[in-house]
Amino acid sequence: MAESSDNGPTVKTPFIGQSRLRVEDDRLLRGDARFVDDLDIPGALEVAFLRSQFAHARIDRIDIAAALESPGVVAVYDGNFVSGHIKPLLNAEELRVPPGIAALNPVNKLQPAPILATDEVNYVGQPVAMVIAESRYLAEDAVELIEVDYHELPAVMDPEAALLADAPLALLGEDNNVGVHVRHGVGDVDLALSSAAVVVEETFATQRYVCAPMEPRGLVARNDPFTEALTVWSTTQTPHRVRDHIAESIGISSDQVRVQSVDVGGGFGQKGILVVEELLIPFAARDLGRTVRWIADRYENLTADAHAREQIHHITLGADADGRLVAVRDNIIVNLGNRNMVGLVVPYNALCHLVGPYRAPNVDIETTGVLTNTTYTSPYRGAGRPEATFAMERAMDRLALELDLEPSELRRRNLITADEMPYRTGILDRRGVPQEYDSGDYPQMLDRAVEMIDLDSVRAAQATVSTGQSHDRSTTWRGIGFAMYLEMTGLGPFEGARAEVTPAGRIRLFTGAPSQGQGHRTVFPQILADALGVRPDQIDVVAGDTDTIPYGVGTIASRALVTAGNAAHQAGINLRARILEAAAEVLEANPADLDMADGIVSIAGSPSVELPLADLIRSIPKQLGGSGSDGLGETSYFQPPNYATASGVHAAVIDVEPSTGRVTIVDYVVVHEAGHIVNPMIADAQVVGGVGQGIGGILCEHMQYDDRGQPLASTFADYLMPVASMVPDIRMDEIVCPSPTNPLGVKGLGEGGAVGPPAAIANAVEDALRNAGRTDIVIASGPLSPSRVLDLLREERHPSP
Amino acid sequence: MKPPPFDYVAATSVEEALALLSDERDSRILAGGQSLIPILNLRLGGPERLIDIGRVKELNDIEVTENVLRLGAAVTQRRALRDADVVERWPLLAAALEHIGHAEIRNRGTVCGSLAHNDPQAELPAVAIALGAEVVVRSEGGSRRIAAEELSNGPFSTSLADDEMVVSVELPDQPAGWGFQEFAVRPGDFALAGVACVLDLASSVARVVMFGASGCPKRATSVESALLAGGVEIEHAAEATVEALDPTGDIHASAASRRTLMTKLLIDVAGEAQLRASAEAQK
Amino acid sequence: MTGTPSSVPGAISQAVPPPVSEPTARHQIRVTINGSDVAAEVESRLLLADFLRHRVGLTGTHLGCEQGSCGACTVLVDGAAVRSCLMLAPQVDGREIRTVESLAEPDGPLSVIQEAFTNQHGLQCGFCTPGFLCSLTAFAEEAEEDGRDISESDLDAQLDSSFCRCTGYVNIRRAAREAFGFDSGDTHG
Repeated sequence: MAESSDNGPTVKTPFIGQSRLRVEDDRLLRGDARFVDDLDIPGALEVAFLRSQFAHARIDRIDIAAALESPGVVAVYDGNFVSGHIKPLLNAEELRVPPGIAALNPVNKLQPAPILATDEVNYVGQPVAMVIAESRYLAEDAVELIEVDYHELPAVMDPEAALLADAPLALLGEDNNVGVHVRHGVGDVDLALSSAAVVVEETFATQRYVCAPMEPRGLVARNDPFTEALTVWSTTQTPHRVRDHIAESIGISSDQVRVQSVDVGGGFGQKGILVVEELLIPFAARDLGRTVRWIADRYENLTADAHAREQIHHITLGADADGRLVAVRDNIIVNLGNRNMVGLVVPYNALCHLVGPYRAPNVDIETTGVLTNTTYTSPYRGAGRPEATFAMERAMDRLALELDLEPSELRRRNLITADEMPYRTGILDRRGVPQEYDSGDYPQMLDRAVEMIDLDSVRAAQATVSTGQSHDRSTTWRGIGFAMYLEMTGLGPFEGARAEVTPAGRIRLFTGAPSQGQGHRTVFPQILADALGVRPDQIDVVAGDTDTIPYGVGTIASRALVTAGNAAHQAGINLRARILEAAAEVLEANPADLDMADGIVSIAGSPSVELPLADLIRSIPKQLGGSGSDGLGETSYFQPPNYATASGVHAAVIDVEPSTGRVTIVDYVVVHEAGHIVNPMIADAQVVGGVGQGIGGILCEHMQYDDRGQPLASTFADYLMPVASMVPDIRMDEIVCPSPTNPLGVKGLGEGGAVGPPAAIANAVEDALRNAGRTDIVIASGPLSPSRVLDLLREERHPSP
Repeated sequence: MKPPPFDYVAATSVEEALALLSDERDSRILAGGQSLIPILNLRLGGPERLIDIGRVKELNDIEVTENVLRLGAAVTQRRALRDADVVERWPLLAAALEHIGHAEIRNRGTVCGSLAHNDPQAELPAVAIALGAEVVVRSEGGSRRIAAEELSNGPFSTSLADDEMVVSVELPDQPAGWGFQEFAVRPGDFALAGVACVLDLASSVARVVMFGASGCPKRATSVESALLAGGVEIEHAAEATVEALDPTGDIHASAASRRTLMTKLLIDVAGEAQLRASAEAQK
Repeated sequence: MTGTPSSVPGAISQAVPPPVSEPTARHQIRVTINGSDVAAEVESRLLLADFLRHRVGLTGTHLGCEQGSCGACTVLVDGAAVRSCLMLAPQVDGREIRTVESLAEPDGPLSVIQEAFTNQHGLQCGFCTPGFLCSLTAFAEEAEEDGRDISESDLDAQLDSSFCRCTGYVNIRRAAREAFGFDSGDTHG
């Protein structure tokens, strides 16, 4: 990879590919991190919000008088005031419809969110008033004194109920509860189904859950009288977008806003979209001329920030007698929450990832994003793929059952092979251009997973299990399940990197893609070091500071390595050429005779001559007769020409304890493919972290609402996060099919781990129940909590077909 | 969320705490705070004043006599669990303590505080009933003893008067026959169902107490009778007991699942107690 | 911040006082924090976590839920691991507190547990990490005090007391195993 240019560094052992320990850790382990709430800014005011207690209501009156008199209160804002100063919120980038998709005539309603509610609230948790006080304690005291008269309106929480003709409107003023709709496919599904040997038709749903990073969302905004600019320290995954939105919504130039990501405690998508609080705090900082800080607490994070994942799939698969898919039809219902906040992102991702690694000549997928009186939703690690994979992979297991085939064998018969790459599916990808998988070897991944999980021995063990009754209290039932998926990673349109030599002779790398724990300070230097001819420890990374690089997108959608990584690579190549040219001038040598390693320039054949970067940079601007160019820095923006398609197979062996409903994961295998791996230790940990979230999703996490729209899991006592004992050691293997879409040959893998577990584990649990004689049970949704499994076991047996 | 305003007083003696408790201000006793502070942190109401009894020396005593274990109101679950006498002679209590939250919670949470809080899902109110414990309460007017079974006045409510506080709990010697199990989704969570049991065949004492599934702890009297009658009808008795139960259905478990779990636990725990009782009898 | 414990032996540093408008009763407390004496005026309702973070400037302790569930705010009070979101600042008068900042000397080597976390890549965002470190530190010290051997299953059970959203726990478990002398199962050497 590194031997790219004719004068590239002589790399003995590339840093790319090494499991280097993280440079981030030392600070974090010593308690020296700087998360937003750790920033020590004297005089910073704190914020608390009054939030709607109703799922849907008209606001008749808001009285903030008593709150203004409460001790320590500096200001109280309501919707009537701020609506004259801040434009309503639209996540414009996410709501954009590319021309190719526009040709499909989608519905994509623009439904700006009011900054604070004025006359209508549409979900419990919606911000109604903002109190700014000397401490969070005092701000919360004052919130309790705000009086609001609500007139409760009919509310709807269930997305399918919301589609009925007589459903209440979730958002007054709309014609119906459809926020997003698109239908797309290829071939003739009706015809194909009519002649299919086997047709399975099922409904599979993914329940609502929450990203719940350990650090909730937060930001600090300070207006600096010296520069007359706003500085915003934020937990955002997309600082440049936040900068532009703040400027646009409060009517100042983007040059007057600096957004800086500091240490961020996980994001997973929740911090990838912009919410009204992120506009209100900077506005208040300017309005008051004071530093203002808002840190969401867990209650806000769970009940009033973005939720995710709630989808229903009515899916139909048709196959020939050998099990080859002839048609896939799916009608997808996505619960968007109270507004269309992020457009087609999740619904269309579900659509274009549904069929995944399989060949399917006829496809027809309709996806409808539905408004309900629940909080808004965001992409969450996988963004439609875990949901689609759950439907498709559950359906594949049902099809295998119909055909009396081993589920892995059914999959094998349908997989696109390595020879067929690049493979065009016949549908449009999210950019609206023909979807093309760049590289991969799905059959090989599956073969390895089947071998690693030792399918044969699990089947042999299952054969000895008596089809015991559930009151046989010592019994456990074993099951095995697979799930395959792919993920089009490296979302554009671009990401940038600037590499420069500092006055001290070190290298500083700037990029718009900040880290929320992914280890960018460790990984990007490995890439840049190889391109440049320095050691990673000579490179410092500044990520997500808008004043250090003018354009950026951010760390979302498994894109940072592909986009920022390749930008860093290219910037490194360009900077190396500049360094050698400058050194040639200083050393009066031919650049072609120069090399640089460990940040020291040398001349071939003259071992005594050494020019360290610190000496070189010192001479550059001041050098007699020099070029006059100032310093040594190169900026590069990488625009991926296509997605880099990563893929994976998950295989789970589980035990069900029929007397309690407890599902225990006995073995879990991941075989994945994500192109060249820059830091295997970090890459594996990203996958495993995703698996942990997927396990939480299928075994315990569930954000439920009652029939009046009250969220029922408002603390971590009720929103059940997975704990260590629920996640076994994950056994991993990988294959490498370098992506031809970028010079490094890398693919994104941040999300993939979360995609497979719900389907793999649900398949395994159904397999266990079937093997124990409960052939009637179809697992349609998660979470498979003990009670849920007991409920399934208790259900009346359907009459045998 | 942060706690609403309240004042805090660290009492230095029981008398001081009782005097504060009986004045006109709305006060609550703060022992370990592991149930009370989460409630305050949700701003679900709150007293005007917290009276911290953690520093009252006499309330920090663990006393073991020939046949009674006395735990002062400020004795943490951790201290009880690390006490060799408790572990050896009151293994039912020790087993239950292991299930309360995590070590970090037990390091602050108190045994008496859990009894006074009377969370229907908590382990200790059930264990106290199973062990035949008595709670010693005091007010400025004097002291009295309340049998654990009489302490509860419904969920999160006790028969204590406003000016009374728990000063200790006394546990009589535990019979050799005992059992304890609970079922929770994750370790440390409140149980979906749980059972605590003691069995002393020689003196015909059996107490089987169910918790977690349906309001406050309840005795499973027909399982007790079955145990005393030799244990042949336990499964039937458990099923009948649970049939009569009216379990809670919530986001964590359906009522029907709680029935299933409670039935299993009654049978398993009764079995454990029988085994231990008969092992003792054969000594 | 004025309240950062001083390194001058015997010196008493003063924590930042409550906001003047705070309506609840105030208390003068003296605390030993990471070996230094700290004098502070605190309001009745101030959570220990907020006291450490915002009045003493020890921001290594993080708040993740304020309900005692997540474990991010775990610190040691008189040697025992506690949730600092479930203690009030006035309750720690006269006590000895240790936070994540005390686990290694500022310029010194990491503790065995900290070292294992970096070796095994047991942290990603690092927000929950101080809680895990304090919890495991207390766990190790308590076992030593009791003269008790820690089994691998005891260790696994202890890990259930804190949440981590990034790692899926696998590398946290490996780190804990390394720190406590068990086979870590590490695959990256």
